[in-house]
Amino acid sequence: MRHFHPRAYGAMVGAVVLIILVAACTSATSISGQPTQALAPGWQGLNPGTGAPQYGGILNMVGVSDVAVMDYDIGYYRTDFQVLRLTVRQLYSWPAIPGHTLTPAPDLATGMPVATDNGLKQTVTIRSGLVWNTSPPRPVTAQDVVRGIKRACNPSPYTFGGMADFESTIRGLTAYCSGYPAAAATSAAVMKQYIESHSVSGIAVSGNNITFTLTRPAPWLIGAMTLPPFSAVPIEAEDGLPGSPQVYGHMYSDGPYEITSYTPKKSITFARNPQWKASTDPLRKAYVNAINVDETGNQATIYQEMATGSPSLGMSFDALAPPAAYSQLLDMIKSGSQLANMGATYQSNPYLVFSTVSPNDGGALGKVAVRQALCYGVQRSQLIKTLGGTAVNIPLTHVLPPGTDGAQDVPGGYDPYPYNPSKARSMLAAAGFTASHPLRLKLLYRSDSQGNTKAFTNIASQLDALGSVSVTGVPTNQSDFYGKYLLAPNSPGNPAPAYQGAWDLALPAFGPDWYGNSAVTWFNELFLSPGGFAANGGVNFGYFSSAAVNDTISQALSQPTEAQADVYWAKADEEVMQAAAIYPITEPLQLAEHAPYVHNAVYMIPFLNFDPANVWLSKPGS
Amino acid sequence: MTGPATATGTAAGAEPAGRKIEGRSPWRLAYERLRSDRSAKIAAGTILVIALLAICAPVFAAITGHGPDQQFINIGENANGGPVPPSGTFWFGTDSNGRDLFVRVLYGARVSLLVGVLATAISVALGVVFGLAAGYIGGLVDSLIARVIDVLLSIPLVLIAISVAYISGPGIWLVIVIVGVLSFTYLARIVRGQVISLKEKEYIQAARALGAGPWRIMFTDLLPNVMAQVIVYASLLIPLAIVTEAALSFLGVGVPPPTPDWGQMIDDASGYYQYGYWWYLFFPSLALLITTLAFNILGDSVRDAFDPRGRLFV
Repeated sequence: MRHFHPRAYGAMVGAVVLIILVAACTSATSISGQPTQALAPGWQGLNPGTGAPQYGGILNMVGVSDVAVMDYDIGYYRTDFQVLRLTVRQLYSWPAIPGHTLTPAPDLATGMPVATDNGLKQTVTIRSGLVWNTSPPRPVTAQDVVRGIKRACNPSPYTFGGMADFESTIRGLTAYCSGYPAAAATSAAVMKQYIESHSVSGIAVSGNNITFTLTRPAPWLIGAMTLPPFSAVPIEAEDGLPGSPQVYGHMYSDGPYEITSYTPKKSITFARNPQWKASTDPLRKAYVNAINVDETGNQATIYQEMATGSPSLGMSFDALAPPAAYSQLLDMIKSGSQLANMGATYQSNPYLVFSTVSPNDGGALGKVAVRQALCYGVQRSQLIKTLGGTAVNIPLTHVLPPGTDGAQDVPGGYDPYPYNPSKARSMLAAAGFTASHPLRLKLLYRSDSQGNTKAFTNIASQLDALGSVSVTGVPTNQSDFYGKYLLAPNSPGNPAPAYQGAWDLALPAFGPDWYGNSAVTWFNELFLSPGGFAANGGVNFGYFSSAAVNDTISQALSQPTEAQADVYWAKADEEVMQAAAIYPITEPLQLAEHAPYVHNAVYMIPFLNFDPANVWLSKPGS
Repeated sequence: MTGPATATGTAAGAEPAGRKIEGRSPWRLAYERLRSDRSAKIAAGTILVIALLAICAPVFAAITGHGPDQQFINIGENANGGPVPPSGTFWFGTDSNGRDLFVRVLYGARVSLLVGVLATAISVALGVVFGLAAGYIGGLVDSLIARVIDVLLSIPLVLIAISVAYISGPGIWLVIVIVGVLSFTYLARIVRGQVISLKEKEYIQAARALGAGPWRIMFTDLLPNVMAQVIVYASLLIPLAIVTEAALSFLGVGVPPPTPDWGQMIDDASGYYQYGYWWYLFFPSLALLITTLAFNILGDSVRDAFDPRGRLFV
């Protein structure tokens, strides 16, 4: 009995080789491999189309993950912001007008906040004529907005992650948030009772006016008012715990679209909200009739299919362009294509964070000198190259990237850790780590992200090359990266993974909650202690703690003008870097693409995507 | 099967004058069949070459000056951080991290062969022990082992592997143990079936009458008589183990990076080849294909050699 003959063997190998080659070549696009010419960040291809914008059609979006939480005012992730953009309105939001996308504009509000009492009071007036799509339709009120603020800091598992931005600035809000009864964490009825019967001393409502009394002047507060807690929230939201099926199963809308179905981690569908009136909404044109989101896509294939014009894929939902696609997208942009875009992110993405509380190797990373040594041992330019090159990466040598006020006050060319492997080795040796007794580190990264994997590989390679460091990868996926490791609660009986030594280094990303006058979001969230710790709603993943930095943050927040505050933000920046709490790498530029029939695709930094509320289709999807 | 007739004109089936008539054992017969099988020789040669390349991987790393984990960010990545194609410097091109793909493919062969051989060894050891015990002792032991095997067979191997790797974290030894432990079931059944028929034979009864204990009967009298089946199955298990390891690494629960591994390379390349980086997918896939094909063909030939009429295996 003979199953294979030599010829069959050769033929089979040959056939498979041919298939692989043909598959690769037929789908291949040119790889320039040439140094990329300088491209201005913020390049915006609007794909204006011909004639007047068309109403109608179905926009099909494909993504790779879900919202973090489907709710009115809790979401704190870019996919959450994108869904809220379509369904729930905030006091202020971002206009989809190129060049103005980072300037907060009135959304629920009728105009800019009116400051009185030397800036210690800010009054916002909300529009008349807005209605919820309840049955029967009901007006959106100022009380609905206050409900959103009060509900955002609830004690359930789903609380708004950016409360540290503004909680201590609105008088009485900290006391209100800490006054929630413990039972509210698990009982919607208790939560509702607390919200509806308790008020925040610094928030007053009179008709359509909401007046915020502040603990200190906060010219940046309008930025915070673009966040989900400043959404109008209907009382029906209190029928269930935030983010629970009782809430997202019956989401009401005051935006142009309503959610018609939501299957977590699979799909979301939107249809027009019949109660929405264009005349009451200056920020959303709502051209398309419906939007379908498929959350089960693949990053690489989404960007491969995008240009084909398939009705089933007009835009990505959340999948960022994979590094493998950079050459192709940059070539498109260079040739003037209206289908690709390269926008700023104003993020630090990724950055290397040190777990200052890890018990591994005798708590080595708790020592500033060890962290500094590791910073000297990493060459940023290598990371920039492997993450896509200088065309899409602006080197970031300190905390605040361009686009955040305060960055301009950091001395030009400031780089506290220029690459110096000899210095790194000697500092590690002084700390007791040598080739025979290396510092063993666990580096947590997202293996489902091409960029994160590349960053991990390069950092591990560079640190291993020091000879006195040994890096082991801790691969995980997007949701576990934050949920299981970085944002896990920390309590005496149940220490967070950072305290357990589950990771020593990690590669997260951070973007400000708003732009311009937003340094407060960087420092309160990332470096304040204990306010910034994950258990307290922040993203101080490494449990970095510095009295000096806390003090400088406090001084910055006490300054009467933004210019004066910026000096202190810059000082805090340098203090954080001296303490080597993190090792920043890059402020990446974001490449994005959409189908040829998608027009007026305005790139929005808060969700790193085109604004689905303002695109129109020349070939409506099916 | 006898040797071919000689050129002296001897009648077919008759021994040539002057040649000694000798009895040939089944092993000898199998060996001779294998030697005359061209497919087997090509497959064995291929495996030998792959093994040599794997053993000599450090030599090639020294020749090229490229370590398996060494990154060449400046010359091994294009301006946008992508892999560079095959060239005189990088014979197979580079991967997404600017590493020499040729060197990594060679080092990847070490992982594949190590997993293939060790996992199979574990599988064979468990399969033989459980098969002998179930077949010879019978009764409750047989029922117990049969139920354990039924349970293991009812759960997909990959599913168990993913669950275990998720809990304990991925690693090469974990892969070896998982594949080895979960693959013994079919072999145990084969051995059990053979033992049940053999244990009633006269020579076993004779051994028992002479006072041989169960251990001696199982491992001295029965085991040699089921080794043909064991060897055949083992030869087919090696490529299965290699492919399973590659699949687990592809799914991210196999050998963790930066250890070079074909499955992991294929997984990584799957996000790149559509953009023209064909070599990244091509070379690791080709290496995996050739290796598994060679083992499969050799396995088939071994089976044919031991069982030319196809009675024992289908």
